[in-house]
This record gives sequence, C-alpha cells and structure tokens, in this order.
Amino acid sequence: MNGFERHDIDHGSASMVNDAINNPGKFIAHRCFKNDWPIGSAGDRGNAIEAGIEQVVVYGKTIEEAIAYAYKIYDADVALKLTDRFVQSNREKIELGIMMGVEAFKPYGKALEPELDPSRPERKPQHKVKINCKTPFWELPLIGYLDFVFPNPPSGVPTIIDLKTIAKIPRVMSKQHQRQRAIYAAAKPGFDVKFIYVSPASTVTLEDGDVPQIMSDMKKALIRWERFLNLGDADFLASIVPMSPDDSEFNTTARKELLREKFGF
Amino acid sequence: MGLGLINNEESSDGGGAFFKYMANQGYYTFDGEELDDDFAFVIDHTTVETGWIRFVPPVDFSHLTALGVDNGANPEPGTGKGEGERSPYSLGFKIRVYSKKIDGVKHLMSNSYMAKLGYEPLFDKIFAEAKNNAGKMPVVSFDLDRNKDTKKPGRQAHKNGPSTNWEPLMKIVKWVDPPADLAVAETPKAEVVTPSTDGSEDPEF
Repeated sequence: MNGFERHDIDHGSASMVNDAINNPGKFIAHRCFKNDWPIGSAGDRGNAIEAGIEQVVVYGKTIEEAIAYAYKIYDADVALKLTDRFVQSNREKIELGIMMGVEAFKPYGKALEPELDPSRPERKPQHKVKINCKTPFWELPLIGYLDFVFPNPPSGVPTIIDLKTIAKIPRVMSKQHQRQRAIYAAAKPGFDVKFIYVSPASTVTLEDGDVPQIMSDMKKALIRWERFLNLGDADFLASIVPMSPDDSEFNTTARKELLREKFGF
Repeated sequence: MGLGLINNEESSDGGGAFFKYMANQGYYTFDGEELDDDFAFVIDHTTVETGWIRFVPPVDFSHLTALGVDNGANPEPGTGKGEGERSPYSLGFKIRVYSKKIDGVKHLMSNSYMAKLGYEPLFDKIFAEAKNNAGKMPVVSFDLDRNKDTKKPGRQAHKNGPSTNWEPLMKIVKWVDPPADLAVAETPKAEVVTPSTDGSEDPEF
C-alpha cells in the first residue's frame, strides 16, 4: 500500500500539489483528516463570474442574462456564509467582472460546450482532464477541470483558458497558477494554455512557466509526500509536520479549532 | 522483518552467486562478499519489472510484469498489521544488471522499503535521462557525495527501534553502450513513460 492509498487519496489536483508544497498543515487537515475546506465569498465571486461568462461565450446568451444567472449562482453559494464579511462587497464586483471578462474572451470566438461527467451527474458539465503521475511503485491521477476550451480560435491553435478574478493584476503568474497551467498543458498536448486575469480595473492574459520543469518538480514533490504519508496515520503526521501556531490557512473559527485539536496550537 | 531487506532474492542467471542489496548493512554483496562503496554497475532499464513479490517461502515471482502494466491486486492481502497477519507479498522490482565484479549479468530484485526508497528516485532520473540517451544504458553507484561526512556516505540511515536500515542514495555515473551480455533481453521490454499525444489514453509524467 502506498502513502496515498494509506490515506484514501485516490487522485490529486493542482490545489493538492500546491498544498503539498506550500501548506503541509492544510494538506493533512483537509486531505488526511478529511475536513472540508470551503472557499470564501471571493472564490464564490470568481465562480459566479466564470458561470456568467460561460453563458455568453459557450451558450450565446446576452450580457444581461449572464449577469442575472451569475447572481443566482452566487446568492445560492453564499446563502449560508453568515460570518463572511465580504459577501456583499464581492457581489458588487460580479457585474463588472463579467463585462470585462467577456471583452477579454472576444478574440477567441465560441468556446466548446462542456460535457456532463457520467460518474458525477449531479455536478454541472465541465471539461475534465487527467494526467497520471507514474513511478515504478505507485501511480496517482491528477485531475483538473478546464474553464474554457476553444477548439478553433482565430489563431489556429486550440486554446484552453482559465479565468482568474483578482483584486490586482499580476505581472507574472504565481507559482501556484503556473503549476495548474502546467498540468493542463501536459494533459492536453497541442493546446495553448492561457490564464486571463480580470480585476475591476483591467485584464491581462499570461502563460508563464516552463511546463516540463514544473511537472518534474511536482513529481518530485509528490514522491516526497508519498513517503511522508507512509510514515503513519493522520494523527501521527499532524504530530510531526512543521507547523506555525499562526498558520494563515487556519483563519476561521472552525479551522482555529482544528489547529488546536489536531496540531496542538 | 520490519524495514529490513528480505535476503532471499533470486539474483543470478541460472543459479550461482547472488547479487543483493543488504539494507540492514548498507552495502551490496555478491556471493556473500561485501562490495566496495564505489562499486558501479550497468542497469538494463528497458527490462525493469515490477509487481507483487513474495520472498517468504514458498517464494513467488510470478506476478512481475513490465513497467506500464497494471500490477493488479495483492495476491494474498493481509488480515491485519500484527505478526502473521501481514501479507507475505509486497510490491517490488526486478532489474537486470551487469558488472564484471559480479561475473556478468545478474538480477537485482527487492520488495524492501529501503531499496524501493532508494531506487524509486533513481528510476525517475533514469527514465528522464533516457530520452536523451537512446540506445544506451545507465551506470549507477552509491552517490558518495551525499552524506559524505557520515559513517556511510551514499546511504541514508533509517532508525527503527534498536536497529538501523540504510536507504541507498543512488546516482547515475554515466550512460554507456549496452554490454554485449545485456543485449539479449529475456523479459518483456518495459514501456518507457512518455506522454500520450493521441488522446486515446491518459498521459503520464
């Protein structure tokens, strides 16, 4: 039994690898102790803007219809986030985000309609991709969901675009986003993979990172984690993983309680 | 047996002396004799096999398959973690190796945790570099620059209660043309891991 199997981890993702590299405490809390790690209203805002833009570039709806649809999605997602102080301010950014995002997507034409995953019919249709991290001793599929796929853009090169809504436009993609991009690029050879960043002020399209190098580094990180996970059960790993008592990932009441209960801080 | 290497490896072609990695000692042996720390040997990476191996009698090597083939389920899963409850099988590997110091071609086979810890990153390096070394085979040895100020350079100690086992820290010394004795493959050619481009199956890395 390999380390991932020992902790009932049957697949990974870009966020899992990012946690393995940057947030080992969160990795253990979320993926070994199996605690939910819900996103905040900023994440819900991003999902709502993406859903709205999808209405336009995939399904040909009007901007007005897209905005109404996005509000519906957002309001449902934040309905129980009673302690999130940013629910209203994030809601106010949705309309502008959709308008700017739609403009940024114009050069790519019509996006491919996502398909329903038969294994998860309850989820909305998505473009699922998979790439296997394979060693002689274990194999772990990394799964991702593509935001937008343009099979025939004017550039002639099939293009995948991931949408990021963000407060401030970056000059270079973060390492975390570069890893996500590398997984998509390696899983879909022959496709350009770009990230469009949308802020209230402007948009930018980036495609940073040396994909083979990043994939190699991610594999090394996963090999290290497989060994680490094989050292013991979740309680044991929590007792030895280097942790900070003020780890910024443990920033809600429930997570602070988790930090105290599982990690002793 | 804890993390120690199980010392019943079948390692020779057609009988004769055994070539083994002794995890509890931290060195390779041939015919029971310790080999020097700078001992280097050729690995035929094109015929690596992995699978469920049983060294506890009755030994069973029948589940080994070429790389890229699903290892399948443990033929005899354990019933618990206590003495006598663990599965007699563990996933392991078998490779053909060559050196004049071990009288030519031998098999190195192990399912021990220490050997796997050491050989897993070595295989990664080998398969990464193989693309630029077509037709050649790697010469490998302990990486004596690692842990060089310790009692056993090129090895990593793992304490387990009163005993210590040694993970081999291996490196690729160079790539060479295959020795003539290794030219005839006796096992299925391994599938060297490369990304699929036709979309017919999930790519790998």
